Amino acid sequence: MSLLNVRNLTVQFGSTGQPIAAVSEASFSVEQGQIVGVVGESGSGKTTMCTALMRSLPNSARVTGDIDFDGQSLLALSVAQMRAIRGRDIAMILQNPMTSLDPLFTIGNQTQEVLQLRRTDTQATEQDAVALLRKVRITAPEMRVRQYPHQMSGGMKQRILTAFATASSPKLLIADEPTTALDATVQEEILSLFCEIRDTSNAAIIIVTHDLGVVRRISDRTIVMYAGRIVEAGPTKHVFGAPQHPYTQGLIGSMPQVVEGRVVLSSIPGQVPRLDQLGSGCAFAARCSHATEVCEQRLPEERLVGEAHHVVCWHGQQVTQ
Amino acid sequence: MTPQAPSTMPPASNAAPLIEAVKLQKRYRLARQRFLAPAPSVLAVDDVSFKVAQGTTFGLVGESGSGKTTVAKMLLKLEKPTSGALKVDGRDIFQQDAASERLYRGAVQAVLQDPYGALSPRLKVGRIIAEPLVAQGRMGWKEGEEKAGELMALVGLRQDALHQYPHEFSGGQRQRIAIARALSVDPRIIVLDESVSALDVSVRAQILKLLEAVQQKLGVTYLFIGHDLAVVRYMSTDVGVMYLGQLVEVGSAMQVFSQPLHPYTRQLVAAGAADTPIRALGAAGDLPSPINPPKGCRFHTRCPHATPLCSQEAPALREIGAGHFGRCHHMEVI
Repeated sequence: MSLLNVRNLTVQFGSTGQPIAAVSEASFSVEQGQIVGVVGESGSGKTTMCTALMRSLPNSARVTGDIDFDGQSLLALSVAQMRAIRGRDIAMILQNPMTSLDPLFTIGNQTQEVLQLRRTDTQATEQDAVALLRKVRITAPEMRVRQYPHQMSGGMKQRILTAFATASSPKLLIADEPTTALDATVQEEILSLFCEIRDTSNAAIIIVTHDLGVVRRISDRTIVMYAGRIVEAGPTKHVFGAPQHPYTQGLIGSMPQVVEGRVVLSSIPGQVPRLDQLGSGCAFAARCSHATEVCEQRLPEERLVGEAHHVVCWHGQQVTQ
Repeated sequence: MTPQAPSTMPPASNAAPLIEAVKLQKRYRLARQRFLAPAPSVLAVDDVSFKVAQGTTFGLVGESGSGKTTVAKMLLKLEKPTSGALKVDGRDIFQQDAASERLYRGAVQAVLQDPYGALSPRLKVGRIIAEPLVAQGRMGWKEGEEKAGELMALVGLRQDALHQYPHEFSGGQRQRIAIARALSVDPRIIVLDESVSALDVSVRAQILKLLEAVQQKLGVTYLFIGHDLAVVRYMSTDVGVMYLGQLVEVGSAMQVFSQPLHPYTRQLVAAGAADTPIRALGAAGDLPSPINPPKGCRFHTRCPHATPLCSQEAPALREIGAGHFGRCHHMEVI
């Protein structure tokens, strides 16, 4: 039984007559202790999909489908029931560590507040805050708890936010572009912290990013999104080693790679379509070199192309089992 | 588009570098902490020397605060170095008369990171692209906007886009407009300061291809600043790695990325490689403050190979292979 089971998750905005689907019929599951990477470009729906898992989308969003988390159907819960899960069993780390902390309170003050909200102990002391910060390897936490956010570097703030998110030992941690704002060596430290959290608490982690390099190195499974739909999902080494969807292939080719001593790069022609201008067929058809008539007319179905490796493409290679 | 006959500057001979930085240093004074206290200062760029041949790309990599952009600003004459010299065509750009300064401003152009902030929202694209030509006094608006049409084709945008406003374009298209504007005055050098960093992967690949095609066609020289090593490697002929204001390694892209000398470059290269396990690198600690950089080698606080010598004596940039320089005491043994 998977920790998280998402079936046909659809998120629509706009009028009911002409809805715009930011996420369409997304289905995937996440196991305990698994790190899942969600990749896609701006507007592909990856952040909306993960925000829907937290039920934190604005009221204007219409969410349908089924989100089964730890034996509970999240979309069926009351607001109060959901609030008990949000931040406690499912925690989220946001992209911008610079604006996620309150500039007017000390780090210690904010850490204690998180501890009081997330745990049952109503009186968290400064020592508790120090202990929590030490867990995410903040150096000299006794001094840091008395400092303000502006006295911290970006990497340190991201560690503090990671500490907040893991304060209640969540079963699922969702990190939305956690390293995008950080420098390369600091990014390494945050990623290794994520691995450590997974190893010590067996939490599942969903990492949303547009950085394919990060996903390739850290995640067990990779989900590729395009125009609101999951187009390929599978074990990371298969998705990167033998990508089946032409978009995944194009995306990987768009990263400079060293082949026989030369650096090569290819690009996908055209641009991402607007979500209100999608036709009845495959959203990638207009940019795809393999596209045929059927691609423009009908949506492809999901096909199994390897062990737990799915691709949504009419021309994806079908594996006979 | 062909480069205009009376070029903005006489071409360099093949042997001499187009750009040469000699021991560049830039010190910024900071505000006093107390009345009458000595004003602290930060050495944003310290002892930076490199050469760039015409028609090639020099890549600069390093973390935020390492001084990459300060080097770019000096090349654009937006900042003056505290000491050292920056030569273009063998002449110091900070000792020009007014006439050659004007020519120089046209010969060096920039494409910056944020495609949303770089274009005036109140001007149509045709005007945006023609403005440098008019400002340089080379032609009037009418003629300038005709030339803008040619440039649009060169950067892969439709002609009718000339009459649209920047908000009607995506980030990638805006970056194409910024490139067209930079090309309008037939520059010899274009400073690309994180020009593709804000773009999505597939759009970034398209813009990199465009920059490459422009260079092949027009022979323009790039100073390419980035933090994504794979991208810098793809674009650059030669590469300089900066750390806390200093160049710690310089060489051809092949040398720097395939046989890195400096421990810092090694860390960066390992972090960018697809097969490096995440925990192999361990915690390196935060970047030290450039206001009070570590004594001796600036990298010794984060270096796995540091010895007592490293905390006492600052290493000099030394040549190890042909044209491959590193700033480390222990390059030969590690």
